[in-house]
Amino acid sequence: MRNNSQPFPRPGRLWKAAQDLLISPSILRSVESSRSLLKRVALCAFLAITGLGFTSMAAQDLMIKGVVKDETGLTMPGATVVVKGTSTGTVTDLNGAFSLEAPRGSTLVISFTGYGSQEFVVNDNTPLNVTLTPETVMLQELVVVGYGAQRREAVTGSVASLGGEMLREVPSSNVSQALQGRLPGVEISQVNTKPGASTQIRIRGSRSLTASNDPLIVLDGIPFAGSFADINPGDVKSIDILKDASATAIYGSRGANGVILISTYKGQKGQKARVSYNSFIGAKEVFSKYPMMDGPEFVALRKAAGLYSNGVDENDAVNFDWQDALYRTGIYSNQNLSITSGTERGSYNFGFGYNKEEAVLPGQEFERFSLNGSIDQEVGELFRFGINTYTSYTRSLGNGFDLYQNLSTTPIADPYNADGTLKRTVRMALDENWVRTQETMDGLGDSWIDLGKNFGSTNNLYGEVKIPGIEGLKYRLNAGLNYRISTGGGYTGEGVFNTNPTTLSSASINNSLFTSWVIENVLTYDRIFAGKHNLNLTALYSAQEDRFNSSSASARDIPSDAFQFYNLGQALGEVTLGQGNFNESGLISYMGRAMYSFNGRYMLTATLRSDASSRLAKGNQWHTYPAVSAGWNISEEPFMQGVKVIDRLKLRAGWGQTSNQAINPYATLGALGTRNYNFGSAFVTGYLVTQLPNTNLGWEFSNTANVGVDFDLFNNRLSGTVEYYVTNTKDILLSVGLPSTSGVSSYTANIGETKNTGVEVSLNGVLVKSNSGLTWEAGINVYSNKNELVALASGQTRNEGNAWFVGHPINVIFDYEKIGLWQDEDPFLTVYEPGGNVGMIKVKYTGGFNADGSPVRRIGPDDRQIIDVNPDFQGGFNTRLTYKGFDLGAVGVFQSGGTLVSTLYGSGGYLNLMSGRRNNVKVDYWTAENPDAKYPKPGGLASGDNPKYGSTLGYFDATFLKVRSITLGYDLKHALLKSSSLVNRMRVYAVVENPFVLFSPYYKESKMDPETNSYGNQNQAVAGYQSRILVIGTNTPTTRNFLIGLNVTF
Amino acid sequence: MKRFHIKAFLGTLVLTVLMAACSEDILVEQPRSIFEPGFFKTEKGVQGGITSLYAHLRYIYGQAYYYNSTQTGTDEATWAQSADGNFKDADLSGVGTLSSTSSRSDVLWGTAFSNINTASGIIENAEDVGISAALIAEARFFRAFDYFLLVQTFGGVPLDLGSGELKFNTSPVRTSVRNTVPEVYTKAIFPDLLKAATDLPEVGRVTGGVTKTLARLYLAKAYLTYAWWLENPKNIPTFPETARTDPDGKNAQYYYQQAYDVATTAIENPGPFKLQPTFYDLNLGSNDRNSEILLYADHTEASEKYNGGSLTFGGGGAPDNFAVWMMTWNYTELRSYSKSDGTGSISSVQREAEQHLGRPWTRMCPTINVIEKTFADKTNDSRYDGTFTTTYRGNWPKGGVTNAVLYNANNLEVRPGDAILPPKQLSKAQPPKRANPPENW
Repeated sequence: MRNNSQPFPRPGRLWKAAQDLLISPSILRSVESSRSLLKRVALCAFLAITGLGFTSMAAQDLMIKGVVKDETGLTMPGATVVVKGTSTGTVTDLNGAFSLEAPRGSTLVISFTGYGSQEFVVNDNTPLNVTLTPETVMLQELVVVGYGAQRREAVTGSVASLGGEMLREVPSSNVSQALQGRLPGVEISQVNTKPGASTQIRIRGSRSLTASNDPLIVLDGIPFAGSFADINPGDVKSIDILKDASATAIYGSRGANGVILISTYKGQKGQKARVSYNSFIGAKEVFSKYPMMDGPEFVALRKAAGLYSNGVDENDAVNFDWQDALYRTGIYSNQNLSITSGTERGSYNFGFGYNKEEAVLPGQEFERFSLNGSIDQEVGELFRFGINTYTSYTRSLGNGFDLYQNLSTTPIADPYNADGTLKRTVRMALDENWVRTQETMDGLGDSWIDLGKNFGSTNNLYGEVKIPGIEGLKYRLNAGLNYRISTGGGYTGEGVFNTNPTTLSSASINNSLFTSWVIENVLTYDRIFAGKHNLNLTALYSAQEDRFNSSSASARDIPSDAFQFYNLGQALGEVTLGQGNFNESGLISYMGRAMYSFNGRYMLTATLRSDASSRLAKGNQWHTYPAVSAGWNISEEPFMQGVKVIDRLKLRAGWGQTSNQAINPYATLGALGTRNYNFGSAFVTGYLVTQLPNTNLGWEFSNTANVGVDFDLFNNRLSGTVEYYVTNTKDILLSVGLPSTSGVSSYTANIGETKNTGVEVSLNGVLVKSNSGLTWEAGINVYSNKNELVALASGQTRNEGNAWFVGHPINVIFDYEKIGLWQDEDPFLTVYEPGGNVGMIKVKYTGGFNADGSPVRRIGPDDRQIIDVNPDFQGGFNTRLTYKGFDLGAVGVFQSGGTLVSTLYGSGGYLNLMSGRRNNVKVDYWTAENPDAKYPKPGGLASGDNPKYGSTLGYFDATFLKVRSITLGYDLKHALLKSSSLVNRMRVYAVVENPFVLFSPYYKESKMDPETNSYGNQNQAVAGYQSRILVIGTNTPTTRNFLIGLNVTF
Repeated sequence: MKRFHIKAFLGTLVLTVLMAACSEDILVEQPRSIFEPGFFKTEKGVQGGITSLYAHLRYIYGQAYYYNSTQTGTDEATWAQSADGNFKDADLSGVGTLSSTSSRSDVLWGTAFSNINTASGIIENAEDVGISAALIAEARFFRAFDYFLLVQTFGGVPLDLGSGELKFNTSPVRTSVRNTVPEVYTKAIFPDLLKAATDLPEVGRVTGGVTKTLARLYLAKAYLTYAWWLENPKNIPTFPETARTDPDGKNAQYYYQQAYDVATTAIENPGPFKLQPTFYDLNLGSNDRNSEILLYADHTEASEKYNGGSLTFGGGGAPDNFAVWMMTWNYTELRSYSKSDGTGSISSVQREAEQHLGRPWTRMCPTINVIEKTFADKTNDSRYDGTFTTTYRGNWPKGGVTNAVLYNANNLEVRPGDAILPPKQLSKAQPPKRANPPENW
């Protein structure tokens, strides 16, 4: 039996917290952050589950009974009672009571983590009344660090944590959306605004060029194979994000981009049954319509451009708002029910969640059913078994909705027939568009469906055994089993969305299956020597295999709308089987970790890991990398004891290597492309080499150094962390585009280097804490990451095709730079721009000049600039005011600097053609009377269908501050239900999401959400950018949500 | 004893798990849905390679921007009302600026080399897998074909793609060195075409397959072009810089003679090829794959998959066949009236998927000289009718307009099928026409 005081927080406070939670959470919430509360609950669970579950061993001596209480007189369940120098011991029960047999004259040691232990010599069997007092007054948190948990004080790596309650302050279908702006160094970018959509997560910047930059997600200890959309935010107890190499090293190559550890709620040993019901429902309204022209504005534009005359269905007198005719109010609801309970030797938790989110676009919605469960059971003295299971079923409809047609239809196109019915199509100057309104969409019935379904199940089975004979040694086997199936189907009836009413119907189906298994063998040795040398050793051997396969088929001319995609066999037209896809990859790892701490003052963690990946070439599959970090709790030093202002002060430093193998399987093998062809009526398939093999492909690896300081000041009223890091990534895995002259498109190689440096600051403070019960808490985090491409292949300094430039960040745009518009008085227009006109876009010229001031050449590709899109700094904030059961909170996110790409205004969107052909975004354009306008003369010099240099019109300052949610809540328990013994908590609340945006030049001009909503090659008429450059496109509009909710616990 | 059993059980469990998971089998890769380049060394792989040589034609012919790069700016075509920068830049008339990023010769540049590499791979691997000389000759033809297009467009181009001259490239080299024009002709184009002309069959192996006659046609063209390059009467610079001398010591006259000889042989031994009865028949949609066409990029309406592009819309990229619509003007702008008083404007010639109508892309148009001067005798020369659409006929019922009668200018009643835009009546006072139009049209 050992003293648990070192690796775990002080359970007295903690247990009280847990009890408070059961009895009167509102009181606790008003005093302490919900985050630390959750940590404590987590800790309780952890304590209950680990290490403390002993029954008394057979002995023939005195039977000792007693009760353990804390300093406030509350009984302490779970306190450890051990006969000193033996392995004989027990823990106190729910009432703090214990009984055990001990030899006369022996010493009993009674302890509880974080409390000073007490010793009693056994003389007789008088009942003992033991009172334990806390060792320090520090707030303590437990941090999940992978294959274990640590007190925050003992952590030497870089770990950021967020509790589930905090996460849910921004109600969302998707955990990753709710995480935005909450943690420093964790950049969460919106890449899709459809309901339930996931975000792009970059932890401390991008490192890799071709390989994935996505972090590893670990759900309850097992690498998670699904999407964030599968996880119900209501089940999340806490999220811990491992950021530096020393923290991620234990996850090896999978953790190179950071690790997101998600822990779901678990039961606690000995806990009363508890039922929680959480629910919210509300409405989603368009945050702002896309800024399209109205009728008179468009008429003026078409006239100014002078290129097109009105089409058959167009009339200058018409002014129809196509967006108003389309958008609806979306209903958003979320329900969660969970039951948690504990027994003497085990615990369980089951939860059910239902989430439905409708988009403002008709027919687009997301639905999720989730079920999670966990059972933990001790068997005998040595064994412990358990299962965590997480299953979800999601269903999304209408994700293929194409908004472009609606936006590009001119406001002067009259959708109505003379009799008031809607036309099928409207004919404009050159284009004919299907009339897409809420009414026509709703009227489609069976003739349109776009359905995606996912069923995912993540399971972790574990068994643990204490190795008899060696104190502190445990073996644990984790078996993770993942299963995820996706099926989708689409059907578009005859003539639907098409100008031609007899275009054949088409249907398609797709299926994919992902399975993976992981086996982890973990040996841990955890012991304290001489009361102050705390040693924790972990050894791991693991193997993992992922398998994926998919298939698809499509067909034309389905005879009945009712069939939709359910029976392609009945198609009258061609049935085509899509390309099948099969991937299999394996990973074998050995890992060792040692954590040593001396007297809670000096901490050292060292990790060594070896990984082998099937994705790399034979001979280069293995890579071994080390990580080491150290911490110094200065505040624990004797010389600091007199400093009252500082409650805690810790310095941390770490260095480590991580690696990345996140390329597609088979990349080392090269590939053939296929081309279908017909010799007359004979159908054939041809092959050509598109990708060359690389038998030398090896690991990409990053060296990361991290230093940080953590502090708690002014009696824990202000706490914070400051960190600085440098990450150098080498041998980057890169799909190298080969020049056309090589005859092959690409190959994958280890080429290039990148560097990320950054600073992260987070502060949390209790600004006001008055005796009247008023508490005001606020938190802010700010971070800045500087990303640089240090080297490309073989001394190359630029790769224009991929927009990679040495000395610049990975994410840049390579384009002309708009400096204004050409005006009447500007000389040499036709020298700079042959064929150009006054009022066209003027871009920066970088060439030389002749004696007369004329340029030596015209403006051309050499004048393109490298434009950085990355912000200078970004972050988030949250604040919370509580008073007598009321709580008022707000969460926001901000960024400063950087370039926002809006393809609506640029050329890719085809919505700023400035030609009067289709509807245009509302812009202030050049005319002879309005020469100071920002946008060029309509109908001027064009490149493609857009104004020449039209892409430059899409670049904006990306600065913004957005309040993501404002919440007002009231706990009825505080007043109305005070006397109720049944209900522990009943909080009602109202939230408004996305209430407002500040400081955004883009918002100022367009009134739109200044956050991106698409990857660079999505939601545009013509894909204009690398996928990695995030843009605003014609995705589902951002919404402002009004929600009311209820939390009940009894 | 109990403890011992537990230990034994545990030990066994641990060992079992370790053994199960320890196998390095999971580090072995076996793709099951993609082809490795090794497939190219099998007989089916080589045959598939040859198919892809044919398929690559779709990335050049039918690709409107390649068409634009060879037509716009010549005396045959100029930019039209809806022309974008791709077309204006190519027009060279000052409405745009041709630059390294706006030239659409990239269509050829981006397509030809991979095809050359595939051809080299076939030529290298074919003997090992027992492919006939006639099949290898198809690869030789296409390698020469692509080099010939490249050398005409860009001058000298690399013969070494990374693994040696005219070798199948398996090494990822990111630089290249241009060979000179005479090297490209004498090392690549002529030897390949000569061998192809010898080994290819008279009648194509497949519908649209390459033939002896085709190889001779290209050989003759290549000789002509090379001879002209040697002669360089207009003193045009060449890239990379090189002397206008033939490595084999022959002169321009020699190659002109060769061209004449090969062409004569081909004309005298046409195989299955012969002229169509009329000029109109040559390009008539329903008369596809006729005896007058030696080489074409095939398409099918029977299968979207094998057509390579949608059968219902044009996406504007290869392998779609969309070049044909570039010169289609926006005939839907033609207006008739539903009322005889000239009100109720209606589009009387509506968009229709039909050879003389089609999609009005309106990016290019013939120059006025083409219309006025190409056919001196527009009345009797049937090739004029076989070239231009001269009459646009009412088809409004196809657009859902139910009027039986519409009114044109001067209250002229028109019915579906009537001419809305008739050809201009030629004046009787015009001078007599030349009996024979220019030979080179």
